[in-house]
Amino acid sequence: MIKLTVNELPVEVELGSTILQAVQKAGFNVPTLCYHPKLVPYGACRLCLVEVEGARTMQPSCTVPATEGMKVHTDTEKTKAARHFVLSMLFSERNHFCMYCQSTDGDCDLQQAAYNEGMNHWPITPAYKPYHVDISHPDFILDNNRCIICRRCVRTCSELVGNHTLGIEERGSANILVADGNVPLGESTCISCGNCVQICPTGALFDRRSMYQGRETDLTHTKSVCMDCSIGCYRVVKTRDNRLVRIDGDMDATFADGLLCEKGRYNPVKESRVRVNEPLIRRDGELQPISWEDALNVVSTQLKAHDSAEIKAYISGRQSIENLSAFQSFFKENYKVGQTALFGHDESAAVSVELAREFGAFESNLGALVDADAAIVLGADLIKDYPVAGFLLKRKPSDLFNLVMVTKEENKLADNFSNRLVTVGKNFQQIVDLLSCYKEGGACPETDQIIESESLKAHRAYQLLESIQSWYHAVVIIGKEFAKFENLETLKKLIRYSQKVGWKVVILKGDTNSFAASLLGLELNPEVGDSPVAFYALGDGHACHHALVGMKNSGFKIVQTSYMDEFAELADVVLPCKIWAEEEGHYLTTDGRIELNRQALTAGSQQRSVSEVLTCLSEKSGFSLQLDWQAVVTDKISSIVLA
Amino acid sequence: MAYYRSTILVSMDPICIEKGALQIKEQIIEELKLQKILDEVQILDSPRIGDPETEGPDILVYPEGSHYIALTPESVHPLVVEHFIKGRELAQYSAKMRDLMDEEVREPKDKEVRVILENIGKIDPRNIEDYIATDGYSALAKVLTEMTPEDVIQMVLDSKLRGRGGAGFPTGLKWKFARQAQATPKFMVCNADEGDPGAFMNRKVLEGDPHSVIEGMVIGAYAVGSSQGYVYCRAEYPIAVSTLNVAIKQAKEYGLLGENIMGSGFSFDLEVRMGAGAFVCGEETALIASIEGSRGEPRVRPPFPASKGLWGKPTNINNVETYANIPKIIYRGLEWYTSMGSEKSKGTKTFALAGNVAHTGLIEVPFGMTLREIIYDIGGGIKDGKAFKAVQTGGPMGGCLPTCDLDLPVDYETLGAAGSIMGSGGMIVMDEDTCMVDIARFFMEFTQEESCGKCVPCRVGTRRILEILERICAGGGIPEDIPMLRSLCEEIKQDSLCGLGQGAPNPVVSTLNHFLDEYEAHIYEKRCPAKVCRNLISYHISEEKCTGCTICARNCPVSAITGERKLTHVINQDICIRCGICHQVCNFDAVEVN
Ligand SMILES: Cc1cc2nc3c(=O)[nH]c(=O)nc-3n(C[C@H](O)[C@H](O)[C@H](O)COP(=O)(O)O)c2cc1C
Ligand code: SF4
Ligand code: SF4
Ligand code: SF4
Ligand code: SF4
Ligand code: SF4
Ligand code: SF4
Ligand code: FES
Repeated sequence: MIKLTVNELPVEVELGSTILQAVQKAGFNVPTLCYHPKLVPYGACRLCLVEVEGARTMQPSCTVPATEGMKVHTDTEKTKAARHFVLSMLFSERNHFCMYCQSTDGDCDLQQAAYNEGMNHWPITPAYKPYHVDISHPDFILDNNRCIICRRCVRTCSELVGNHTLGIEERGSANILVADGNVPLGESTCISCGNCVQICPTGALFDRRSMYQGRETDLTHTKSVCMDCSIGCYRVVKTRDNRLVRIDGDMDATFADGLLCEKGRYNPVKESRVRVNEPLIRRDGELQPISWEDALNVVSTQLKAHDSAEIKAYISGRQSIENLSAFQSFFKENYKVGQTALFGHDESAAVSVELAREFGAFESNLGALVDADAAIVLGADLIKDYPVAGFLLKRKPSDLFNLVMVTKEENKLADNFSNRLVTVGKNFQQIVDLLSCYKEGGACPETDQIIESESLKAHRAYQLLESIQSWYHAVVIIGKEFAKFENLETLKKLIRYSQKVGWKVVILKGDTNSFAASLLGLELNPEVGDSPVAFYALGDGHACHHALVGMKNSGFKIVQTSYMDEFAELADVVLPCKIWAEEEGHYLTTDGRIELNRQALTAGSQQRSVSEVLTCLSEKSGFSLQLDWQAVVTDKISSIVLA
Repeated sequence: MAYYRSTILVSMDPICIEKGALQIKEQIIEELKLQKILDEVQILDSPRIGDPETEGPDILVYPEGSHYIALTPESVHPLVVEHFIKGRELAQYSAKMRDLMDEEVREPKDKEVRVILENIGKIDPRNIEDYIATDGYSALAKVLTEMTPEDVIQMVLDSKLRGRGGAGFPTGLKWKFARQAQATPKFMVCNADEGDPGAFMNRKVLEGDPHSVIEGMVIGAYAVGSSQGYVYCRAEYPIAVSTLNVAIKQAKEYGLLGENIMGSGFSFDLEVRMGAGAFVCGEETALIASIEGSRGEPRVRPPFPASKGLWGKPTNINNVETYANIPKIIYRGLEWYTSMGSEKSKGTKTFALAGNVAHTGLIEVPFGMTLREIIYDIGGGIKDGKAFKAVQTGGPMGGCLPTCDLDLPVDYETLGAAGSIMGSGGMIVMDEDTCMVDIARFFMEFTQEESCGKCVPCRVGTRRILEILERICAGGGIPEDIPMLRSLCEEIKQDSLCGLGQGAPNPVVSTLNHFLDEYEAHIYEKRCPAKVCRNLISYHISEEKCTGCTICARNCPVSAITGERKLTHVINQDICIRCGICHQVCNFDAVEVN
């Protein structure tokens, strides 16, 4: 512990704390602008300057470490003068006529800082000139006139997201924020994750859809978890008058710094499909409204009318564990229908469960990437399917990280790294053998041939292979292209080897809740065929083409869905479903975290969740559903994933 | 009529034409066309501008009045881009800048010494044997065979050697910190960015005696425990870069660099990295960022490079001249070294003496010599018999010291206390014709342009100061400007992130302190005492003196002068752009400035 005083008050902080942390711990406050807890301290805006006795100049509290015996002052003539100076410089730099700004009255750190300093006029007349407003991006707008060049967005884009799209061009007062050297954002390499927008302290970067829809305090904030893939990033759902306004990352979260990807941040807000608002039944070839009671009776009758072994039931991996569990209890336990499966072709979660039978808790988690100096990615497209996990890799320093990757198709992850051995194709075995060969201290005679024949994107491949001995923290990430039952033996060999040499292993477990589905005993990657009666619990998911083909040849088709999509068009009965934001439910992430998605919106009177529907149906069938998923799921996770 | 932003006068003296003036003119036209500004620039022939023998082909550009000399076909593209597109004087061909950069290393005057410059011009820098023949690498041999790293550090500490890059930090102490750092690998970096306009001390050493720097770095690497080094050299120094590369190659061949140096088991490799040419890249943390491939912007300290530098690893950075001192200290001993210099600053310092002094060029003097000795005894006093007004030390972040400071000894503490800095060794002497407000404006323009823009005080503050100074020079000064300048300067100095911002106010503060009367004349009387600020002066032709020779009328770029041959000429003040050409060309001193 380090002892120092802040405004004469003694305070103790841990070694490595900044002055800012000490100041806050002592119960004082200094304003900040360029500082953000998730970013490397930067010391650029100079608003947080404090006086440290004995120091030649004013010290930025956000970067300077607290040291023993330090005497810090935050509220002297000099500190006040410095804050006034910095603020008046910023106000004199560009256009900050707040009344026209979408961030005014509470959402702008600059304006707030000025209020707090009691500044109500500009000591120096603004000599600003008009700057470019970039409206080329579909999701957000960059108004350079409000930009204070704090570079929080730039640092977010490179330090956290690893995308390196944003940058500052020109020197001195000509500094300007640009994308890719100077390309309109909409034409740039931006991947629309929106993290820069969320982190901007002023009205310079702002969301298109939610602009002028109210200040932060006007919105209802619901802390929740993203279910657009199985990573399970933490997010805050912001609503107003039962309307979804915006989704932000939960910056208080420890996992992945509260980042979100485009899917998690914008997809739900961009949803444009037409909602199903009431139950529908096909009469004379047309879907027509019907009451819930009648609809459920029709469904119940159809289910009873057929041999249950011939019935098939499918559910979307986006459904909560509660719904999956009701589904499994209804169709599998009680009805014992022929097939109870998840949509999609990803069996990785089931493979992971299978492997755990032999190896016990063999998996690490994605958090392992934080300290990793090497990654071996086998059969996963992190950029497309698990973007935030991709960020954790992309943001690694390109010179000091080693990437080995084997995927079916090319993806851009490789571009970030100087040392890489990236092949497109499916020869997992060959690459694993090559790595182990070098790891054992030998050199593989076929290296040249492998590099030349397989690698499209090898770079400094020999350097990478020869450094393999000194990797101190390598993570093997296995995705759906490799995590298949047909590769079970190869996988076992790889895991055994990884355990021997200390590489951590993570299997990405398919869709949002595939892992939970697998633990509950639902089938993954089903053979989809026709059946006399088929039940599709699609919810707010997207139609899976494969399942659609099977559906076309089936007899009576029951679809519970939120939107009028291709499934609904083919259905005999359509049951309106709640969407993710309208019901509470749990999700099991790839890392084995059980997370709660909280309800943020109220559904229409006719929309029901999958479990609500199945509960009604079970009453009609005279049995009750076993809904206690906790025991089943919680028990099993620990046997797969290491804490 | 077309509106021209600028006018180019091309000298059509027969000698210039013989030297290719016509082609140069064609090329300028082509290049302007290429840059799409041909319609904004008027190109005129002029009978003669400078001395065609030494300066031709040459051009004059108005309204700036820039005189570019000795133009070659290769010069045209950079000239047009720098001058017209970027709006900066292209130093390489500018008569004024060339004056400032007079590079001769003369025979030393009585009071000079030659330690760092000893070998320059005497040995062949591309032949390592020349260096070895002057006891080169003997210090390294001594270090590797007789001394522990701790011994080396102690010796450097005892020598009281201080960093020559500007701040004067004790080199031994810096090495000690780097030695103490736990993490590996450690890096050695040589700062050869030398961005001060007009400075070329480091370049001379690299071009003339590269092995002294290499040897210093190897010894330093041994002391701190580093196995990899970089020389960060500005790209504008191609000869220095190629000389260094030759020297590195030869040193490796001789086993003085690379694996297992002199069979001692100690290995150290060295690479040259080229800088992007921004002034701020000379700041050590910006230099690190630049080597790492990021934008050259300073980073906060702490952490200092000694603990977290290049790629987050312990890094020792010293200036070219600092390293060049090391072999001499080790080989010739402490007694010899500490006999030179003042109490707290030992050894010698090189300076690039420039400005209105009789002998400009590179000099080397022991610390503690007074400014007067340097300017008068070594520099030969003020040019053309004019009076001394001020001397600016330390480059663009230095202060201007007036006559009363002439007897100050030159060392880190004294210059700092007087409101200037040692810097890396720029020294510009100004005579009575210099306007100190204009000088302050000039330096502020430089720092404002070279500011990286990362921190608010420097990015915005220097801009606001520059605007005020420009306004004062243009005759729009108001009384509140002076306290406003003072408070802006104080905050920028106190609040900026790196030395550039912290030092940027020095020229303004020092001129405010020593030459307040000039500011007041500009503000209250709308008068420029030195007759420099264009908006505050006017040119008139004296009836008595004018012989009607017509030379002024023929040279006026805007045809503001009328008059018949042999009759008094008259300047139309509405047309005159106050370029001063008539004043320069009149052989009878008939054109007067008010
Ligand atoms: C704006 C700025 C520019 C600088 N430029 C140079 C330079 O061109 N060369 C140099 O050696 N040091 C320069 N420095 C000083 C370096 O930051 C650093 O102090 C020096 O390289 C350390 O070496 P030394 O201890 O040998 O002096 C500059 C500093 C600042 C703030
Ligand atoms: S960015 Fe902030 S300070 Fe600037 S106009 Fe908007 S609310 Fe005002
Ligand atoms: S949205 Fe994401 S990728 Fe695009 S600029 Fe912002 S941080 Fe970078
Ligand atoms: S856009 Fe926002 S975050 Fe980015 S530099 Fe400007 S003010 Fe800072
Ligand atoms: S990575 Fe997955 S969980 Fe995270 S925000 Fe994107 S879609 Fe959502
Ligand atoms: S003081 Fe100037 S040069 Fe230094 S970091 Fe700040 S803006 Fe950049
Ligand atoms: S009159 Fe003299 S000072 Fe005025 S524009 Fe002509 S040459 Fe220049
Ligand atoms: S918040 Fe500390 S410098 Fe910006």
